[in-house]
Amino acid sequence: MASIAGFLPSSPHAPLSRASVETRLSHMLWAMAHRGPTPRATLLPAKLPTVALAAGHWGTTPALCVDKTSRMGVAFSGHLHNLEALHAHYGLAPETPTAELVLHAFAKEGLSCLKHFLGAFAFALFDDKERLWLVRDRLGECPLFYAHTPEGFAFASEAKALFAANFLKPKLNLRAIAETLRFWGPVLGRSHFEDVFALLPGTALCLDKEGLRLHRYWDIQLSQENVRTELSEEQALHTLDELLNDTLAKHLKNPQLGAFLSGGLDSSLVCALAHRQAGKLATFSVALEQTRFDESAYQQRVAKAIGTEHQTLLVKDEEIGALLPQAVTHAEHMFLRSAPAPFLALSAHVAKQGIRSVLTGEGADEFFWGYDIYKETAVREFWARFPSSSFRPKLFARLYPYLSLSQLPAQMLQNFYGLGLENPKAWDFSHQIRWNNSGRIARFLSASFLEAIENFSPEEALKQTLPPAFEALPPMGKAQYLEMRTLLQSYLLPTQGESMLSAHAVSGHFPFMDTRIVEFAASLPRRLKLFGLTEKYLLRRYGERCIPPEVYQRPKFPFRSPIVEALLGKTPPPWVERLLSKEAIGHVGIFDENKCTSFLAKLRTLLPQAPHMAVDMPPHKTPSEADAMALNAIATTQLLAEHFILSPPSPTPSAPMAWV
Amino acid sequence: MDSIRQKIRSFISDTFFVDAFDDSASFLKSGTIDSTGMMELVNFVEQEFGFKVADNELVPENLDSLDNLSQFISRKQA
Repeated sequence: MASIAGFLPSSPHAPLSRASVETRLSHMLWAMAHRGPTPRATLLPAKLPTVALAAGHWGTTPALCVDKTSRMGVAFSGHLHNLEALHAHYGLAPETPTAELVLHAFAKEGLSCLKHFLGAFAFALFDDKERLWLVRDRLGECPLFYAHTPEGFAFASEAKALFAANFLKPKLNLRAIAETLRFWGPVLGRSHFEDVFALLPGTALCLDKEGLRLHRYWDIQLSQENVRTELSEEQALHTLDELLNDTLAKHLKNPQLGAFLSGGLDSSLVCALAHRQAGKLATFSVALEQTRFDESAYQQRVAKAIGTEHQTLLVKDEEIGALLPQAVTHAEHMFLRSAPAPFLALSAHVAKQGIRSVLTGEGADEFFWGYDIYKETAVREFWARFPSSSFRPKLFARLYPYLSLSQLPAQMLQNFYGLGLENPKAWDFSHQIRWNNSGRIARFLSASFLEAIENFSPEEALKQTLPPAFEALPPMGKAQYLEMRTLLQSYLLPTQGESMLSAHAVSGHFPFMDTRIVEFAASLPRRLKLFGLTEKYLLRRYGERCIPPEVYQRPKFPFRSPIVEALLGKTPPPWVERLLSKEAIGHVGIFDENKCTSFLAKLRTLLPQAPHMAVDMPPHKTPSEADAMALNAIATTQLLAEHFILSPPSPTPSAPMAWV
Repeated sequence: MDSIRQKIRSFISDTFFVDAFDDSASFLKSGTIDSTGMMELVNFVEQEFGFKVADNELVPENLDSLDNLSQFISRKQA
């Protein structure tokens, strides 16, 4: 865990004065002090052009390393979990700090050193050929933002640092908002702010006299040739066992390590294996007031069965509402669901217990096919082969037992799920329905917003970022690639994976996102991921070895937390009245204040007076999932505008800069 | 007939916040109303026009466009 920041002035002829640089760098690091409160900085090289590099670290190991002889320097954030192997490979002493190891590896092998790095990281490196490199880990676990400004090229772990140092004035990116309303996050590369870019995962950016170039050094391979069709279930279970245990052994080397236990299959597997290896493990869960979302019964059962020291944190509806502003500030993102808030509460809770690293089950649903989108795509593919079948669309009712769909007769389902059925080879075949559902929120956008983005198409923008290999993928491969690009990398990691943890200086460890496991999962034949309509088949079979049957047999239950009750319930947070008033919505100008006002009034009438929503309420009398997502999108956009545009914070000084 | 059409149109506009939609377009296919919204619409029709929609009447030909729904209601009221 650390923050990194720096800049390269646009005029290579003007020397930078230490005093002016110090103000800039300090403001950047102070804005990210939660990631690492001890700032260090350097100016490289001694002659022009000069680059300013800085990093804030926790504990005693600096995240900034400079080689005085070669005048190379690196600012490193995140963690490499195969340190032992890397130290041996480069002939370095076992206690060599990670930043020093990265500098050494890069000096020796250049970009090809990246193939040896396993972990979650982002770093900035100035090499002896006067090139500035920005590098992000393969899947984008660690964040890194950059901007071209009149004064030069600036970068930081969080966009707020760029604003704090006055490199540019924050302005909401309307395209990113339009994209988030469909895909849950902006298209990769875009941030929620104009002119601030997110470095793509698996990518190295190089900036030198020639300009800026991007090198994609890793991407997932999902083509059919990559699949080991002959692989037996036994062989697959054996490899999975080896890989999971190996990656866990590496993660377990972190001191002060705990684990999040959601009560689902993936985190239960991680906790069971980690507990078995370590002999003991502290696990943490969120419990929710609303019984329709709460999973604490499963969490207790797993914790008891595997024998961890378990703690449950009850996050009440009103706390979710109260925490949303902080969640939005840390994530620098609007969101369609409220889940980041309980994750923020849990992260604060574990930090208070002295936990600095947490294991989670993140990534398993994407790579081993746990999400409904895979089943939905499989059913739609099956149905597309015989479109007039009245039996095939009935499978949808089996797919979503927790939604109210089953009440809709087959012919109606057909109209709903039959979208784009005539072309199963379409690039967006798998995601059309979901994106259309979320996209309904766009009807709340204001006329001036729609005028400003003109005919902007989020789908076209996303399509243009897809690699050439995407076109040839089978429908399920396309589904996975899109799920990884949109849900995982643009929504989950930035909003609930990384930023909520780093808000309290906790680092996330996601064993299922170890590249070796991701590549292994990509090589599995389809039957080992989706067996009929059983999702994550291989992980379930593996679960038989170590977790209670009711958990490995349990259907996927997506983590959701209350929205309408949290924002419009009995004790709404004070900001709701301030930011969701007709005037405030009109002032921000993104959503239509009249529509939003009648929408809020409609939601308020749907909320029952009883503290808990009755389970047997007819679906049209309770706020729908779509309504809840629209409310959350509107509320978090208002929060984003307030915190970054309308009343941005002024820099709060923390520790003084140390120069190296 | 026109007042039926008008009543449904304003209900849909006010409830689902849609500005414009074609009389003949499928609510579900065009994304105007989602599956939960269909239940809301049926509930409105039952209350407003004073009849029960039987299970076997819950078919696209009766419900899934402004044209279909207004014709269905006229038939039921005739």
